Amino acid sequence: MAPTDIELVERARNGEPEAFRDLVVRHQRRVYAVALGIVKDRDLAWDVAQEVFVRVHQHLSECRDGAAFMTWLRRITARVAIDVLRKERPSRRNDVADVPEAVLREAAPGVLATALGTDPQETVLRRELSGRLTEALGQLPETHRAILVLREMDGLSYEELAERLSIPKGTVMSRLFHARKKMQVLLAGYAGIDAPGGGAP
Amino acid sequence: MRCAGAAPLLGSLPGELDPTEEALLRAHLSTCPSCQARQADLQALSGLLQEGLLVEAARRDLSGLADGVMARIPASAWRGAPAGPLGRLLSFLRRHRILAAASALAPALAALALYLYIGRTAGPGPAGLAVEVTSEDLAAIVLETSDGPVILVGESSEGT
Amino acid sequence: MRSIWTAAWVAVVVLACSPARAADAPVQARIRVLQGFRQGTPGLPPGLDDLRAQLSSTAYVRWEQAGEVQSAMQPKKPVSVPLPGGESVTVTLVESRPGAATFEVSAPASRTQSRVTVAPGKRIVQQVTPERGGSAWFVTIKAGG
Repeated sequence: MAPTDIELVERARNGEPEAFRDLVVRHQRRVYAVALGIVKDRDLAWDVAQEVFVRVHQHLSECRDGAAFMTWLRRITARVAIDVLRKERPSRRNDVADVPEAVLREAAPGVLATALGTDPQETVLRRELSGRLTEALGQLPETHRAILVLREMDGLSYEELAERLSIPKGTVMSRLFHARKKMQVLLAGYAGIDAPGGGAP
Repeated sequence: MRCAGAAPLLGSLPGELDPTEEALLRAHLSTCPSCQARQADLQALSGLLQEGLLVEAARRDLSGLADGVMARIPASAWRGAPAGPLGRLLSFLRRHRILAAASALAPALAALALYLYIGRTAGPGPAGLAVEVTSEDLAAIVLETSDGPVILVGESSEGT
Repeated sequence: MRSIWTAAWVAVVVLACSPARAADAPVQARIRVLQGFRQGTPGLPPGLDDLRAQLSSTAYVRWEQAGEVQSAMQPKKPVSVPLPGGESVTVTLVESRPGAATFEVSAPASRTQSRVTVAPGKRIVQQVTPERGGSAWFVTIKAGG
């Protein structure tokens, strides 16, 4: 039977490099995926993922069991990705203006869900939309993007997001709301779905 | 609660809304097809986003990534067993089922192991937020699991 | 006959809860009484399948369910859970807030009292009698049904 995360953590703590390598290989894809969503650039996402695991190793003694490991890995990923995001774009504050309600007119509710249907299996449309996902994400302002990715991929709470980004919880909630709206409009656009009310730039 | 108030609350996680908000939202949702549709959209978006990112990550050859991580960890960092013979005892207790090991020890030693185990924890447990156990004479052991805490007691010192 | 060991209170505090408003909402709790055995064919009855991961972290390999209490628990109102054989365990909801419920479990047979906080859906598994003849009794509490 495959070792659990906690068994690998224990063995790594006791000086077994191979156990730590196994841990990295086991989780690297997901960490890379989150990083990619946030920083957009593939090479940067690679660096972020490596940095995450280096930090994980540095703090291995703080991890107590399997589930804590996952939670903790998610937090480190969030921290590193956001730090890198800030570092790469030091002075551009491009999400200062939260998108005003009037500009972002919503597509009719249910349009996306209906188009994709209730069948979660692969459909052509689904595949096409998920293929353009990073493109759509790239259209969001940075903080909105980071919030959306961390929320959807890692389930970070409003509180955790507020803390990570040093913004109020209310701002997190409103940015998440706008990010989701914008994504829906973009994806509906890619799919050529009629969206009465139009999309936003 | 109206749509304008409900829509931003959709997609909150359990416990993020206070009970009043939660109840109002639930009530609104049960009668509002538009908000139900919005919720379906949220779920569709969530699925697409996860799929989109994971599929793109799957396409990338990540085989060099672990090498890069290992190269950045100095060799000296691997000499890291927890301090001393007690540390090794602790690792031993954890590798083998803790209760099985503890019941082979005298209660006093099990209590010591418990103290050490607890002493190494820091921060909230994964599924439980706090566990306090008071036990007269029997060494209690708390195992934190992702499904919740498991609290065991040592063997009775009375005759069986 | 009392044991020869002097009573030694071992108080163990893992950590403090973060401060939060205590609500007085009743919590739907499902309390099951289980018996774990060291010997026998390893297995769980289907009704205990949700506890598989937690129960397998103990040294007991065979499990049986002996009873169940479902209760809309009010804070500070103890619920008595009888164990076969005449002993009983008292479970009290100490407080509940969104995302966390705190229970106190008092098990005189094991001279143990615990206070545990869990998120909804998570299960507390607590041994409530010392092991005798290769088996021991447990209760499990799940908040939020």
